[in-house]
Amino acid sequence: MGTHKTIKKFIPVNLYDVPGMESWLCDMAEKGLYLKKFGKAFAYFEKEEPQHIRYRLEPVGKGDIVPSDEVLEYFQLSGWDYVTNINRLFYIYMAKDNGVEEIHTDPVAQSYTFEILNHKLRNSTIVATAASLLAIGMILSIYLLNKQPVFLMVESQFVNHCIFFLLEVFIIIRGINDARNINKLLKQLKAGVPIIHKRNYKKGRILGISGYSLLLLAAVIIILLPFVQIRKGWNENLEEVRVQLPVIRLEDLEEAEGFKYYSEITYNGKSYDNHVFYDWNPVAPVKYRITQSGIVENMKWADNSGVYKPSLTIEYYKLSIPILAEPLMEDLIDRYIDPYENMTMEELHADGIGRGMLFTRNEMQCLFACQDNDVIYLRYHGYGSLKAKINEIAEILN
Amino acid sequence: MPKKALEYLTEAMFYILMSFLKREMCGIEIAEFVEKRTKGRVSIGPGTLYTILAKFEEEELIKETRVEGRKRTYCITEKGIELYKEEIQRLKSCLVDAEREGM
Repeated sequence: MGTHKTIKKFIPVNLYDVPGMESWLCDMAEKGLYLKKFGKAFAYFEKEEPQHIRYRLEPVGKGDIVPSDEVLEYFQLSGWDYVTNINRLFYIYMAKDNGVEEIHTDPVAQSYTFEILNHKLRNSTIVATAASLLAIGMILSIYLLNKQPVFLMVESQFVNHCIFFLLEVFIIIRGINDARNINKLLKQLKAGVPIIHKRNYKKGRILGISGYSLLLLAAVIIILLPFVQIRKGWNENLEEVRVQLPVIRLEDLEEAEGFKYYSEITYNGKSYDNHVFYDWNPVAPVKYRITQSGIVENMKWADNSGVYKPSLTIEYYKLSIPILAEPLMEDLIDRYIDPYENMTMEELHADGIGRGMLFTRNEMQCLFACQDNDVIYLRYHGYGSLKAKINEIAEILN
Repeated sequence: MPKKALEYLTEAMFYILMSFLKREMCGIEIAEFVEKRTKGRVSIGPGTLYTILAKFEEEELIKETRVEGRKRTYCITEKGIELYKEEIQRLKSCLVDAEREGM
């Protein structure tokens, strides 16, 4: 006997679809592919002469992964050869002779073989559903219990959380569906109705392939997304950046003579108080944080607390979902405005600004604005006026 | 898993229980007995045979008497005989009812 080549095939049928699995294996044999082994997602066949072969699935009883010798021998005498098991769920037998008696001739007796499987599946579905609901609850609680859920969405692994959420929902639906199918089959057998071994499994095939493809895609996204984010992000000293930035220059806000940019925090040639940080994520594909800091050496703060050193920090978000713009602005206000600071609040109106808010207290000004899918937040410490730059801010947002 | 008692005997179960009345039996002998007794009208698939034997053993209707190599032999218990008699009574009642009703 020559060595047969092993051929690997994706399993297109749900493992708990007993007639569907039997039909698929029969069809494979008619193409000359004889089942040898079952994996998690693939089955392994050997190529031989095409033949009509009946395959039957028998639920594994109380834990033996191979039937007892007595059973194997008697099945063989009756024309049924043991092939393999499917993930310790089912034994698979095959009969080459069409005249061989069916493995089961009494549906009620056959129903007993499904009782243990039905019980195990029901319990595992309950446990898996509870675990998945817990995981869903944990994912939801990240956002629902947070005071700034939209800010968290643009700053955290929101897409990964969404994928995890959908996976958990998929696990629940799939588990319940499998448990229902086996329970239905059990009830059918108990009622004395035999299993019809021929079933069109091809309808579920596209669904199965799509399901696995989506799972694979989800896994790839979950793994790759953090790397893509790291790769797309960059930071650079402000004066070295050549791309167009959503920025109001600190020098344009300052009217004092002798203003110059000044950095106190420098490391490895980078000036972190005159710096641009760029980040990317699917919810906010453009995200800038721009810091600016300056000094007027011949000028002091009004309270004589030292040399006048104005600063301006800008956070800019271009969102992929425009509906999130206003909630994000609300979250930024909640995040950066301390209600105990008693800042003066003013609503700003200008062409090109959907909503604008200015908070001021002494020399501190915080301006929030949004338009369509753009959101900007400016925090200025100095004697200039952010309000006077409202048209420039509108231009940034448009 | 809680044990669930047999709700009723199917034809295959009835004949398998009958096969133990006169002597101890192993799987292959039971199948031959049923085949012979029913003149081939009732045939028992290998899966059905071993499922019923396992169920009967679990319900204590039969018990294992000896194991020789791969062959396991069983005999009927008192409980099995009782159930068999009850089933005969039920079948007799069915026949009486049918005869009373006529054609």
